[in-house]
Amino acid sequence: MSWVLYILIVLLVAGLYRLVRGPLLEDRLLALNVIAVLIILIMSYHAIAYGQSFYLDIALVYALLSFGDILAFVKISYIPSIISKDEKREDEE
Amino acid sequence: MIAYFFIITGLLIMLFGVIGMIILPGFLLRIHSSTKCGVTGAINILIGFMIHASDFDFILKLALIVLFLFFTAPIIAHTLAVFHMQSKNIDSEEN
Repeated sequence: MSWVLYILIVLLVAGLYRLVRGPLLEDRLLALNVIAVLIILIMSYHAIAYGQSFYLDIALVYALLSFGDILAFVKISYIPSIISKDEKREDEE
Repeated sequence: MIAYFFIITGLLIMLFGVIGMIILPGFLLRIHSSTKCGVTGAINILIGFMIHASDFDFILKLALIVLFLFFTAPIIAHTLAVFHMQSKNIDSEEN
């Protein structure tokens, strides 16, 4: 059943293309989401293949962290006005 | 046998999603393609793993992961789409 792992790793490396060469920030976050899903699948594959269920805990925590990660990144970069307001204030002063 | 059917179907959907995410032009087309692979493909593969494992511990944890992905993947896609439209509006107002 190890061909599943090979196909998943090939898909992950292919998804890195959009992560490196995304013209927008949203493209990179989208590729990050897909890569997180692929890492969850690889962890689940290892749990099934080696018969140890604590890899699934790692997969669950990784799913939680990647969800909060992307939401926090969007929320931080949603407000460019904080930075630009400070720059404008410095210009006015 | 049923497990391999689910796993192969999920891997095909993941493959189409990643190919679409690489070659399609434009952000909204790419988000359309990659949301399919995030929800449908991953949940198909995890259901295949659940059938293949046939152990209560594995099935419970894999079901938790399936439930979590099923709820969070549309939220992420919606957030990214709103973020894209908002930043496009800001750019067009500044220009």
